[in-house]
Amino acid sequence: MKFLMKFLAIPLLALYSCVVFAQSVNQSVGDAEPQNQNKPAAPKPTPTPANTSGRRPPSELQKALDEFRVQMGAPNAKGTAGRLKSAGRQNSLTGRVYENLRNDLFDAIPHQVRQRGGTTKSLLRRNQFGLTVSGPVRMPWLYDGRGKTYFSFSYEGTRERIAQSYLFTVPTDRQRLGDFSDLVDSAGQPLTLYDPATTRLNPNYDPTKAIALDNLQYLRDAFAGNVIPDHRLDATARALTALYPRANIAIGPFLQNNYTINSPFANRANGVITRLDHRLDEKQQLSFSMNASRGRRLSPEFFSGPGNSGAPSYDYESGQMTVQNTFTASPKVVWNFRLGTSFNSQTSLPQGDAAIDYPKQFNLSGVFSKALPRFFFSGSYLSLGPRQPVFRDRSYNYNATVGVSVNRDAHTLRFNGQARRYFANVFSPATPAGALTFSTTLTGLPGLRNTGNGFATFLLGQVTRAEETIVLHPSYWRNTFIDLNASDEYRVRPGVTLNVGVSFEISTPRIEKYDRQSTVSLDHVNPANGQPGALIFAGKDGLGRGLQPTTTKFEPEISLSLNPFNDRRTVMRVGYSLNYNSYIVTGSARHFGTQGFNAAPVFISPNEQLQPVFTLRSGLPLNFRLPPDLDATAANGTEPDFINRNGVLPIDQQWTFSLQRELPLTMQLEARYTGLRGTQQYVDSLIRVNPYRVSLLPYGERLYDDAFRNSLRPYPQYRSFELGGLYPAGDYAGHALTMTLDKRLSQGVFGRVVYRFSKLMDNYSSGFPQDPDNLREEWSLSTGDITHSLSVNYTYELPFGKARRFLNDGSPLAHVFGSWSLSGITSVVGGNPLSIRPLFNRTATLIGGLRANAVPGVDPHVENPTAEQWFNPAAFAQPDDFTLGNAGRTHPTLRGPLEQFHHLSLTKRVEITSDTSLEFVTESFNFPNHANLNEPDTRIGPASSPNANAGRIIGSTGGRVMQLGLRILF
Amino acid sequence: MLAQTFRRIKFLFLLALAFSVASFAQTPPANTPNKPQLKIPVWIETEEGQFWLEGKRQSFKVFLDDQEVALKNLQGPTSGTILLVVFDTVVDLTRIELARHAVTETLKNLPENHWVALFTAQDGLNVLLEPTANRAALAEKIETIQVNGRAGLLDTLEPVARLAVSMQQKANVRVSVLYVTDSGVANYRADMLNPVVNSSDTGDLSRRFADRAVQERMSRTAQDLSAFTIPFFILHLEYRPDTLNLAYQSGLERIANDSGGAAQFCRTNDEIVSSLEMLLKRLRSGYVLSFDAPKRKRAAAKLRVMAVDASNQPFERIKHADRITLPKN
Repeated sequence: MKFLMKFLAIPLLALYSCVVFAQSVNQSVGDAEPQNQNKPAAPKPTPTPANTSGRRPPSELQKALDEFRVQMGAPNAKGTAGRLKSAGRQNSLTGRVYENLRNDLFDAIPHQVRQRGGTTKSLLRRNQFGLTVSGPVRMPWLYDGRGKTYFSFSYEGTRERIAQSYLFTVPTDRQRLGDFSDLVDSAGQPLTLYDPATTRLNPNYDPTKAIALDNLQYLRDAFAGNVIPDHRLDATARALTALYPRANIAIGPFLQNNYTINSPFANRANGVITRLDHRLDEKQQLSFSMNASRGRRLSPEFFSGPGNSGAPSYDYESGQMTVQNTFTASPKVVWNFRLGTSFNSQTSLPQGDAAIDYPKQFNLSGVFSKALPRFFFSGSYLSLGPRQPVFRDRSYNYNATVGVSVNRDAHTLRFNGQARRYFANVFSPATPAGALTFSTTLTGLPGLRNTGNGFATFLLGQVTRAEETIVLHPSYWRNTFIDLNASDEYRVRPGVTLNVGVSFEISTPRIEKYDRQSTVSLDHVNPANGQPGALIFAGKDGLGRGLQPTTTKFEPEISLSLNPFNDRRTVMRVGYSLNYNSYIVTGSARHFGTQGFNAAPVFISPNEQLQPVFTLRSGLPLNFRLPPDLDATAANGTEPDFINRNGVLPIDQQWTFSLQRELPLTMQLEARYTGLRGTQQYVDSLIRVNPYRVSLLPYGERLYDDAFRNSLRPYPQYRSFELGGLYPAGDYAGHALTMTLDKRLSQGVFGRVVYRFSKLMDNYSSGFPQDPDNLREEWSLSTGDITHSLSVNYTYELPFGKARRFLNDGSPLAHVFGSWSLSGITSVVGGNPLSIRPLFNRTATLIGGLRANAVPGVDPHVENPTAEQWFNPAAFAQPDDFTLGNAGRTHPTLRGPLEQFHHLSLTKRVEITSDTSLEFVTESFNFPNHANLNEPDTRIGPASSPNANAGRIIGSTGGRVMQLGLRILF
Repeated sequence: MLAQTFRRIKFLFLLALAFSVASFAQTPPANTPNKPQLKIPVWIETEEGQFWLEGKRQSFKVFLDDQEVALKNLQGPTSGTILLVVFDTVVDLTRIELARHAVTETLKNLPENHWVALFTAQDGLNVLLEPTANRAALAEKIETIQVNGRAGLLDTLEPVARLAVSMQQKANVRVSVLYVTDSGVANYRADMLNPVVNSSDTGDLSRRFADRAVQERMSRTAQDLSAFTIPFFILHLEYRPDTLNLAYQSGLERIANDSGGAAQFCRTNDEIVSSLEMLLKRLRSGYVLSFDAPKRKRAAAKLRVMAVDASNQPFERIKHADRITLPKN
């Protein structure tokens, strides 16, 4: 053994010596041979003009080439090509882990809390954490995806409880017991309550004169001392009052704004995004992506208990999945194939105790649900009862896309085809336990405004109006959308490129899986009265499954870009496009268009000034036809759903003109004009398909007679029609000039300034029109119009640290002061136009969008608008009863206060290793703790009872919020 | 016994001899410099805005932290040059077609001593062609470049820089890098869009500064590349004005400028040719100054270059990096 060792040792040592010697010699002359014998041999030199012609190549270049080969390692089979697998962060795992923390400890007291006397901060606990990682897929001994298969994965979780401040008006402690001796109107004048039980005709009424205190049509006795006697209080109402919160503050004016709450909402969310890319070969790429999010949102409670009228709490899920294949058939032809699906779901959480039958507990009969009904009290009181006690919404879609791009001479042609199939499975009754309204009219003097009280009417148990939603089955909506698109990018000549495109969109109407769909047809005769307007049903009597026609729309698009005067620093672009909307699978009302299969009975007082529709003691009436009721008359007497069946779809047009100019100091300026025109936009309340005409207003007080009033409708067997937010009738037009100055990073500064000057007009942003037959009158500034807006985004990298101007020497000071950067966002947004409205609307509900009158000769503006007086309310007046107002829908020059937002972020990066660093982020939102004023009160009362707040701004909102972040970047 | 002792001595002698040979072999040759050389790219513009091409070794003076260092070598506009052209094309067929044509035609005009290598950056750095003066082979390879995959520009900057530095250290040539790209932030595999993960999270303020992830990535990349002295030239085929891409493009421009190179962003297709010509004109007009690295006291040094013309008049417009990272001794 010893011999063997000795025998082998000498030759091995000699061999080692030779190898090391040879290597070192190679290194010393900079030879092209690999340093490591494990590396494959270098490839043969590529033929070059120099060496193919027999001349020696330039020696330095050859040295460089040799080094290139050494560095690149083995070529592939083709001899000259290869992949640098080990180089680059693309082949290692990269990503970040992060945590963002917010806590009220760091924040300022919100202005809205401080103004209400609050001295403590609202609860705020928020943790947002997650990670993102991406890199090649590698499974030891099984698969090495470097250069082929890559993944990325993100997870984010949120845990938060954030209190929000609310201010409401609730009855005072006395009023809760029926004592309204403290009741005042909006001007602070005592308000008398009248006993509806004493209503009687006034024998001295003179019909030739207007109704006034000395000429009443009906007489009523006032409650002695403005106190409702104990025995008159409804037992159910008294019991329900116990669920209602008590006043806890006195903001005013008078008895208004007397209840405030800082109520937390809680959100617990978890979400992931994953992506996988795989290169099948040089020509084919396959991508898979999936994201999903789920969580639970507990909405803020306006008050605790089953009567809470805040938004419902719910569980939610959403996500999508896509598979895409890109096939590069040749350098000039690329195909794309894509399949995808997405889903969204929301399920309500029970409010109160699900086991308790609340209507039974409160002795309220006729309710088709165990949930508590909703109670609305006229006079801006907070409502009582759950907003939407139960819902389950699940919607999803499948989509497929195929596209090809072909390059041919001066043309690039693109063809795309896309098909989408939508599904929405919904169970979402709006008011399953009923919604009951208590108006002021029953405790006031009939014919006189500014009398009575909604909560007093409630205590008497006298319901003015009620509605109920009875949904027997979920609705399973479906529809399909197909889009075929072709476009050509044509390089006309140097400096000029023309883009022309056209789309054909095929939109199919929605269907219901079990054909549980209906609408009122104005072409059918109602068997009950022989008049036009009857309920029709999908899939019955020769009707198709869809109640609308399939539409095919043509959408052109054209744009031109050029460098004027061959100046490459300037680019001009012009463009025009026209787009149609498609049918929407569900509107705002999830069971819209299911009458007969479901029911939505409406109970309206025969005369809301004189008598209730029912009392709490009697319970909700059962005098309606229960579903299913597939009869043409099933919707008679209701507010039926009306599906527009003429195939008209909303149109949006846009035209643009822009000039971009490169400026010195790495800046660029762009001026862009954008014109917008929209017609036949989806609206809800603008169009009143079964409206009262304004010409009926002279009927005056008679219009309070429900039977008489409804007989005046075009389709008297129905009340107003529900349009589900899907009636194509709205118009808008807008113009905007946007100036954008970009400063690219130099000297550590990077930023963008955008100023926008715009005007947007429409006829539907206020909802109900004043005159349904004269929509031209509605044409005015959009409620969302903003004339001026300015935003500034900036980043400044402090000039200290590695690769920066100062302290770049790696010293301890450099570690402390290096790698800081400051970012900021400032935006200033002008106010929206004000909509001036009368305080009272005495038109017997004929006019939904009643306007104020403009007082001639009185300037509505004030010299220095302040919160105390933002505009001059004397420039407006309450119109007389049963007359229209003459002021514009929105005022052309009066606007709300502008809003400012200033956010700042300070980031410090610390390098841990060459590939890993730590980042601390401090973000301050509204860092100057600036308060933005609320909108002014625009309700104008009559001279006899003016609105004391008209023209004033009550309060402001805002407060500095801090967020701390920690990120590990690798 | 004696024979055994002799054998042992012989064995030890051979052992010592073998290690001696090995040790001798590992000793650097006398002509190998002990100090690493620093090579910096420099451009000089005349008052008329033209590049000055007549520079000689004695025309330049280099100062590190205000201390003059001795120039060892100089490669000028007529010197041999290696150009590493990297395509990172993932978006638009039209622009790629134009870029392919523009690059092919423009590179034809380079002198014979300008050798060009060709890469693609998607899914790792792929070598399509090693450095060559064969323009026909180059044109043929450029024609095969496709629109596919995920953007790889940011991921390949550093390996390309390492490769370029290595070549420049081994040979007295100028080495430059030219990227031709149409990628935007959305085309990267890494998550720079910082997309909303939980759409229900209405209280999320972390994405209010939407371009932070992009800025952070660009800043890190710029910092990583500050150690290299290779000029990057970036031809971006599609300028995108949205906030995220503005941050990305701004970062690319910074990387190019800091390296001594330049970036051009085409806002229309017609700017591709002229932008490329501007970059190549600049690329061809540069000098590479070589000098010994000083004994390292700090990680980086302030760099200043002076140049004078034939009449000893100093130039005002000298473009070079402000700082230089010193190699570890």
